Amino acid sequence: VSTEVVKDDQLAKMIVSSSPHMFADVSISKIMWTVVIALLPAVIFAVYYFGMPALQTLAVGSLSAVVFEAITQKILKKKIWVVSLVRNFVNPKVRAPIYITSIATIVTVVELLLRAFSPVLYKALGIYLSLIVVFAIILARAEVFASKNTPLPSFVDGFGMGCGFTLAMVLIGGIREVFGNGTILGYTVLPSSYQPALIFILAPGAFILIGYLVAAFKMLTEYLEQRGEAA
Amino acid sequence: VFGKIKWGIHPHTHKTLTEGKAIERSELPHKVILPVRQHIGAPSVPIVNKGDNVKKGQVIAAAAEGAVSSNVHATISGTVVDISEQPHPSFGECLAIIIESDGLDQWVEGIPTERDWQNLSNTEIIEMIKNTGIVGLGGAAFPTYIKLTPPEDNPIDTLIINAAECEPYLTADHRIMLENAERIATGILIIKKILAVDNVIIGVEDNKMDAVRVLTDALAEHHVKVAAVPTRYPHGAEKMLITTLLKREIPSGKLPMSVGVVVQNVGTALAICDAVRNGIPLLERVVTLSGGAIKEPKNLLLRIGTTFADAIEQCGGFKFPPAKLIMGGPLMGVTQFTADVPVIKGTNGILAFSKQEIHDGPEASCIRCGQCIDICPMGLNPSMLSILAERSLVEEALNDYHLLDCMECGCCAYMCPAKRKNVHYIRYAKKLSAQMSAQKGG
Repeated sequence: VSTEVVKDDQLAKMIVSSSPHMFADVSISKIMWTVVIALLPAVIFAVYYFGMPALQTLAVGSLSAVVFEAITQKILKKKIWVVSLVRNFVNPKVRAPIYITSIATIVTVVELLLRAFSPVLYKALGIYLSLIVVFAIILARAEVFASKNTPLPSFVDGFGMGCGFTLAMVLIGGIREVFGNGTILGYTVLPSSYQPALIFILAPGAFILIGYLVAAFKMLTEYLEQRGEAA
Repeated sequence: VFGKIKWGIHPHTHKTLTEGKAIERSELPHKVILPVRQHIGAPSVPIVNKGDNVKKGQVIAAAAEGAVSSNVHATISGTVVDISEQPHPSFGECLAIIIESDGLDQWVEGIPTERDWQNLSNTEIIEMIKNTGIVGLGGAAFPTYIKLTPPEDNPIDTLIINAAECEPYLTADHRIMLENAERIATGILIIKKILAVDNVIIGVEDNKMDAVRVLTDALAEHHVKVAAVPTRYPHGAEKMLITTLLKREIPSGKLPMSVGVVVQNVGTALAICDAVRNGIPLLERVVTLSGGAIKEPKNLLLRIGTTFADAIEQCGGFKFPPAKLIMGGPLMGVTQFTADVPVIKGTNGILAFSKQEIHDGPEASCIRCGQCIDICPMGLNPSMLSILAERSLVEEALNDYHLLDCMECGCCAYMCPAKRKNVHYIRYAKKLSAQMSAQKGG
């Protein structure tokens, strides 16, 4: 709409545009904040009256609004300003709370879906599903990879990390089951003379095992490297 | 008194920057640029040549024969150094006569004189107004003599003097009312005599009550009503002023004449007084120089043809490079790409704005809030007009949404929360429609 024309030094960048040249201090965001304020009493009463479900509805509603806006903007080939808005808006110093909030939103959605379609699994996972929110590895990936990359590579990264993590869990879980209970997937594999080592089933045993596994993997990589150098 | 006004906006006026400052006569410019188009209508024709010596008040470009046009006079004495295309504040470029001052500022023979205007005939007075190159000084610059000679079959019963000065920042008219009330009064009486009307109303916005008092005193014995109308932009638009003062509505596409009214700007009345009583052509006018980027805002009495740069120099120059340099008010003014454009007859203000004063932002899509429809003084649907214009649907804009009734006052763009450039789009559509009708005609 406006063109900048370069002329002398002092008047280097005067804007040439159609009138008017003065605007009221109004904006869509101001109007929408007014709407938000107007809706607050309803939210407070809903939470008071219905409790948690009201908050969950709000979270799902907000998330889907943001997602669908982003999709619409993508389809209309407009700038996806939800993402860029957050990116510009978020002070690097407070990025952790923002990550946690976004992860929490996603986890809440998964939790609700699980409860609706697979109540048994939901019950089995219990509190551990909610604890994913503060899971260090997710935060680490958000910090190291996702915050610096576009959505698709971030998704691939997350998927790969998930697979690797699952493998590691299966490995640790398998070893613990064998030594701690003498079984694999519930089938007895060790002779009944074997005295199960209870320590493996308890949480500290897992940490000790992880230590040994890390040491073992270190040794393996070192050995492989040395062999590579020799050849 | 006038009932509740539903249209328009109430922007911060920023008039305190200059309204208390007396008019200062500017220094004699060393050079003036006088474009041949300073009015609505056909350009005037230069009658001097490069190298000619001219005196102040001498006609240097004559009104085009048989067309709506106006004379252009030399505003300083000196030498014509060039006749060429020069930057023009509203047309981009225009043929202009450049005079370099000899520093003497000598009048051409016969000016100024003293005349007893009451004994002159109407034809003589109108001839004088025509020869002295007087045009409407409110900004549109329509040649005044044409407005004062309505067709015989169109009776005129009311004369309105427009002193609303509704544009923010501008205080030029306010100052002339305070300082030159006697001359304005004479000018108004001259117009009244020509039109032979009894009903004369001066419309002043009620943020200038001091001017209302001064004019009431000056015109006490002449049955001229000074009306204080509510301060609301665009009250200075003649259609709005007529509606408020007389409760008459001008039909779509018609002139004030059609409801028996002639509207003259208060500055024009002043110029008419000087022209008829003293024979002085339109050589100088009061211009408000204001805005955040100007060091010392002032009301300056400037020779027409003075460059903006020279005028701003007399206000101490710029505080910092302006984001926008504007001729006229902030709501209908024209942005400039250089400060080397001249002051022309219609220049009522020169504004230099900082980035903060503009409150502009990135444009979003229309959110259908309806603000612009609520405030449009012409009762149009600006959001729909701009959406149609964006898609070049001119036919629909013309026929269903009355595109040509828009007077580009800018209220809709001012109020728009999505910062849509409605006026820009509407102007674009008007241009397309003009091209279309030109094609049909040709």
